[in-house]
Amino acid sequence: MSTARPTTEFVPEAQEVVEEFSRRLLELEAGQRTGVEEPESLNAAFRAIHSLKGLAALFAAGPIATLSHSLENALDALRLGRVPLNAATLDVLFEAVESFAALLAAHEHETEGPGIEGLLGRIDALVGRVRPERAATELPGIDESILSVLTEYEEHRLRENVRLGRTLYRVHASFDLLAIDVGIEGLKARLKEFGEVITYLPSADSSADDRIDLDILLGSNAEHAAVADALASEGVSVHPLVREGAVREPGGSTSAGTHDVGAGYVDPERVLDDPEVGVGHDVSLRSISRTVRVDLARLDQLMNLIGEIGVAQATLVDSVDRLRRRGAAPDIARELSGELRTLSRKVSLLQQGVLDVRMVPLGQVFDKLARVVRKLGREAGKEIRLSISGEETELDKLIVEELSDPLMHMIRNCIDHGIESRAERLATGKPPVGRVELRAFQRGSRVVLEVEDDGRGIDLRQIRESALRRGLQREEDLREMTPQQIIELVFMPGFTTRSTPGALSGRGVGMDVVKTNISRLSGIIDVNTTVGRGTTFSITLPVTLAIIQALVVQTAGQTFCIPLNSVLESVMVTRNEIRTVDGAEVITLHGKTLPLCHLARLFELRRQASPERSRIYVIVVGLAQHRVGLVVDDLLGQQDVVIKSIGSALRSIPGIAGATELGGGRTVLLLDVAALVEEAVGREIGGAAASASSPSEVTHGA
Amino acid sequence: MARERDAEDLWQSLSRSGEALATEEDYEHGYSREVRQDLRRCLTFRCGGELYGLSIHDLAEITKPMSTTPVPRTADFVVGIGNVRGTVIPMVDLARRLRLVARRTGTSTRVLIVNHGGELYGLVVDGVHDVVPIPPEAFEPPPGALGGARAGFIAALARHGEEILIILDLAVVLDPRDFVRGDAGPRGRA
Amino acid sequence: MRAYVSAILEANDFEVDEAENGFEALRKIPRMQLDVIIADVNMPDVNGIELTRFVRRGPGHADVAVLIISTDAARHDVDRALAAGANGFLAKPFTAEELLAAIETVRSGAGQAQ
Repeated sequence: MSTARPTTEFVPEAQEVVEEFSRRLLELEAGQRTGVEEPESLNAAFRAIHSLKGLAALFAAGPIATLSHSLENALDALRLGRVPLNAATLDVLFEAVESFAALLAAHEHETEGPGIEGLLGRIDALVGRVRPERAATELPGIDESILSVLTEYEEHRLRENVRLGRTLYRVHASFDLLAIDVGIEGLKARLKEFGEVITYLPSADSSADDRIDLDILLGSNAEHAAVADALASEGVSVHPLVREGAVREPGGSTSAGTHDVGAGYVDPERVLDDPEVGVGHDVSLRSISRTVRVDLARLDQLMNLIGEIGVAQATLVDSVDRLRRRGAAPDIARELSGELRTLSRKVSLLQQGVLDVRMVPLGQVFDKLARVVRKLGREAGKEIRLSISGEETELDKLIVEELSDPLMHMIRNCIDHGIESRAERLATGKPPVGRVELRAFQRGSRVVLEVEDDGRGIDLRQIRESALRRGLQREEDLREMTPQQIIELVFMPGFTTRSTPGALSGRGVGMDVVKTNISRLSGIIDVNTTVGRGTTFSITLPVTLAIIQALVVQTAGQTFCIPLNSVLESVMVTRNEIRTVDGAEVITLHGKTLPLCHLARLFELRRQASPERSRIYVIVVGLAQHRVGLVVDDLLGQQDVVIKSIGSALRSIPGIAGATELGGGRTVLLLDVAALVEEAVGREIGGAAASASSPSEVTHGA
Repeated sequence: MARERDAEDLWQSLSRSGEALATEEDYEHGYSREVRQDLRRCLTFRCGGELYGLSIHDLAEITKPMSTTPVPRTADFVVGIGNVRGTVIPMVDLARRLRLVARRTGTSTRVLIVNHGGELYGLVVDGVHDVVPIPPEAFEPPPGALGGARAGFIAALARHGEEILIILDLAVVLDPRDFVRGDAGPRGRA
Repeated sequence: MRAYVSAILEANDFEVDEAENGFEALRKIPRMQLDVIIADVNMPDVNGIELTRFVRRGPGHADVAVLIISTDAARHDVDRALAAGANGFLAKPFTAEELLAAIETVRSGAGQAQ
């Protein structure tokens, strides 16, 4: 019955599989040359042949089925380490690629294919040379419950990893169930940098039923801390799989006499296996690109380092100032402050540079979505054309990451429910191919993302009925709602228009999550829909760098954040360094007069009854030609913060740009430095700033 | 009715079918002829010793008092900003806003998260009571003679049994022009 | 192979949904009302044993019948899948009749468990 499928489908499909097989062989060959084992490639080659066998059986392609059956056996033995992989083996495997090509051509033209008897003999001979069973590597302490769910191949890889002296880790991750197959992609790639993923163990015991927990077994040469640090940004936890009894903690101590217990046992293969080449170097045939992948955690590390340099620099500035005041070695002191200024400029350039590295084009996420569209379209049996524009629009990497899940939900909804079936489209006079458009563009200081489909649109009646059925709204409330309010019901938790619980996903599954995620990024989501014509979801995100580096300061017991890009430097001064010029407080910094203004006074903050500090911090902020020293009680540090709107009622408060969360649920205000400087220059200091300027500053026009 | 009810309880009763209104059967058996459709459901709450009503359409959520961050240069009734699941919202001390004697925060103090003009605001009130259906004819315009500092804030009065509910005009209560302290900023000075 | 199984089942009036890999299966299983899950023991990433274990532990889907398909060579893997709670095993290659019979067997087996 099923063999009635036309052969035209078979040949191209089989060719694809053979190409995949051939690619994997090339990878294996490259691995052989460099002495790197490629278990992944071998396993993929096995799978390719496995599916070719299935295809061939389905289309009754006899010789191809025979050849792939025999190859499958050989590859199975190879991947399980029963047969060694070497150049001679690869020759035979490559010969099979040639034979497949010839056989497929013959199949297509319904001619007699080449004989494969000789090749079959050579393949079977490979399997004949079974390597004497290596004493199974002990796996003491590895939980039986883990071993019991591994396939033979996975168990083999587990043993291989132990034999190669790698540490086994259990990486625990949690995913939104709806997004798992896409969400896992990124993590997979990250894990591969550290070694080999042996298997993924799902658990149904997740805390919420829309999430899924995975334990991933990873074999790696990297230290626990290195793996844990690098993966921290992925929201996973990493635990070493402790092998009881046989444990040697990395660098850990056992009793003094036996501390080098492992030294007597040297695995010859392990010595050959240069760790530098062993893991993480993807010897692939991909083109060499001019870019490198950088871990966000490393960028954070860099940012922190830059912050520390800033602190050291501030101390240096302080010391040099003291040196100058003492009049000791004035020439050297001047030289030093000149160099320090150069240093401070370079440090801020460095900082900006690192921040720029975090900016990524949305194209990254769009590519991922294009794959999702293709896949979901196929799944839903709908033909969909995706057009994309504005992929070059840049946003902070963190935002882009946070966006990918919500966008995916939206696309999924478009395809599952927006776009009609081919028949339905034709019946309503629409082109048979559905259209989904993904656009990004900048609008002022915001980035707008739109997902538009030309599907059936959202039927208000259906939403109303569904909201009623699910008890989300009462009928009389619904009656009073405007169409826009009704459409917005799709963002309510638990909303779906599907009546059958078995359905894949109803419109609205995840839309509440979408909304939550977007508002976490200070974004707004809008829906526009016309029944029969289509739906547009648009997300507006602030780009004023929704995520910025901020200096966290404290004054009069209150915490504030200052955008780092408006901070020139911060210095600690003692009260006796403050002079008064024409009624205004100033300090001398780098030989120039810097007017001060106290944040606590500007904001009329009531000072707690704490003793006046002898040391205060001056944050030098400046815009154009004006520089002002903002005085605060304490510097708490630097941090990446997400700017949040404080609402239109508070938006017009001068000196406050927004708010942000500092962890632990603390909400703090973010200062609008431009407004504060403008105000300080015009108000507190008045003419003092100008008259206090040293002549040299005026000549240099600084 | 006068009994204080827990916010969570009350919230539940909002999402359940109200006892004073039609049941599911009513809907099916000609509810439209027997039960009024034009009742407006209002949350009743107490503030500065008086009873107020707020249409539940304006209400997004009722929470216990949360920690807030003071915002400088704002009017005295602005408690600060609060954080409702990641959204930063202005928090208003309603008693101060209405120039009533403010009560101290107690166990019955609640925050009404209201939706006004597409944005959320928190209103700190002394306690919430119930959700009641009110027919349109029970609403009266605020008497002109009422005067007092609050007059401008009142949209209507509503009779509910023995009591009179004060229905606030959120557009006035939440007028952004009043949030910023008058003397703040250079423009304010000029 | 997946196409083959689907083709057989659809021709026999089963409603079929496919998953390309283990993760897709994990995503779909909790949201669907299934009678039988047919899984190759050697699925990429999440193998048939793990999938079976997942199905058995899930609140809404612990009773779904699981039919494992595999080559005879992977007997070891099949044993583990059965130990994890799979209801039956079908060796590749198989005919349409064998598949349908196996499905009937595991369905009735799982039905009794309910």
